[in-house]
Amino acid sequence: MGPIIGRLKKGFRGRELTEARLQFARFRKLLENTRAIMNLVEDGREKLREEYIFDRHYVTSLLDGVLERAGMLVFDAVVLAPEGGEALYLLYDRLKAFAVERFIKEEAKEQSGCFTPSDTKTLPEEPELRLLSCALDWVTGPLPDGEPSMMDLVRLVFDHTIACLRGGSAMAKKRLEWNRGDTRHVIDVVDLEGGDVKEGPVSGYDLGCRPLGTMIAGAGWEGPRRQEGEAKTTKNWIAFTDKDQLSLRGTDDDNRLYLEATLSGHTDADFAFFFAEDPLDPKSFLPEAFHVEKTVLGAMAWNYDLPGQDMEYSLSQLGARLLGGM
Amino acid sequence: MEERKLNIMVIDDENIVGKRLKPALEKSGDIVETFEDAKKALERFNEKPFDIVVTDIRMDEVDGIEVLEHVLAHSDKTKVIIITGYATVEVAREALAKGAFDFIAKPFKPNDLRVVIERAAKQLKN
Repeated sequence: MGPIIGRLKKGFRGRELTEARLQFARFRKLLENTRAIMNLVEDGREKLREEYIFDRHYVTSLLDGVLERAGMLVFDAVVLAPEGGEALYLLYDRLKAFAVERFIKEEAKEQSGCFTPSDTKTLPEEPELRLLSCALDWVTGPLPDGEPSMMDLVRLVFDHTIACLRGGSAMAKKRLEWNRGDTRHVIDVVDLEGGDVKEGPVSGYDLGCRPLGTMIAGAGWEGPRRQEGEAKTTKNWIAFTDKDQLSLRGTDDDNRLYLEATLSGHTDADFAFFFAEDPLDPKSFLPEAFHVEKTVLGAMAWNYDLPGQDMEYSLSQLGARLLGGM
Repeated sequence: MEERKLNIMVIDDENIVGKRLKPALEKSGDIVETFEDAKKALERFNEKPFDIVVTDIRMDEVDGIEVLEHVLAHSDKTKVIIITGYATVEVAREALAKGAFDFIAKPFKPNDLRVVIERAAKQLKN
């Protein structure tokens, strides 16, 4: 390769890397906003479960928080994948109008019993409890008469966004390869911190990415030269990494998996999010602690608020199931 | 020696507050009266002294600060505890400056209020 072509290639790769960093950061923002919505729902459920004293203002504040985060979520999705963003905004506007009409505006106080999310559910007697219970049902769904819930918007956001996360292998400077059982795994690694590492196969222990290191240790990977069994199929992956964060994506048409994980040892920051496009069934390989939601394109799952060691264990199990022979 | 029962008044225009607090506070043997209408509560206060008044701050007609002023004008021994869903530093500062014993932000658990009431009861004894 001549020096001019080499410099051009380097410049192109630098621009791609910047774009990958921006995409990575924006998708993390989107996950942060999703997590905030889930946390608000969990806070509301705790208030219902544990005899808290609260008033209507708590419910309207909770819903204001959900709507604010949902608005940010839609913005993140449209920044990542502008095409078709109108559908997200239309659904968001419809949900917001419904929430204001039924729960937030002052007159809604008198109607707090008129929203029955399900024929089989018994609503609490006290108006404030009933309002909170209905508001949480409206966020999580499913609702009668095909009325959309906030969770429907979250699902649509991920279906809308996930396709833009494909690609990027050309940026990879490192490659991990090994056979487990009859499957050969090939992971192209893009170091988002731009570490200057020799191109080609590297040791998994030199990756400098804690979540990926935990996963490949869980998969039983023992070095680039070790091969076990004859590979009949190959699974290709791309991993965007930095010290504590990982975005791992399956790049084959029959293996469209997306894992976002942070493993820093700080419980508030650590999480794992997963998206599996049909026909993959995430329940077949996800550890139990994951909450799974079906979407049109597949299924998403997340695992928030686990103590550091449990998150490490979850990632190790995931490594064994996705990248190992389990 | 048996502990003296406290007379506690709870004022909040949202029904759930009195409904949940009354049985929770009565568990320790205290006598609790709840009111959704602050005007009626103050009329009752004029008839009967209360050791502790727990009042919401945002209410129609008579608000929690007016309740606080009325109570302290009639009884310098009564401890007033303010509760509110609109917790801001300014509101807390105003309530405490006007003589409130303490300030609790909603949502809270009955036991959180119980802890404050126990502190108030200690001061009443002294």
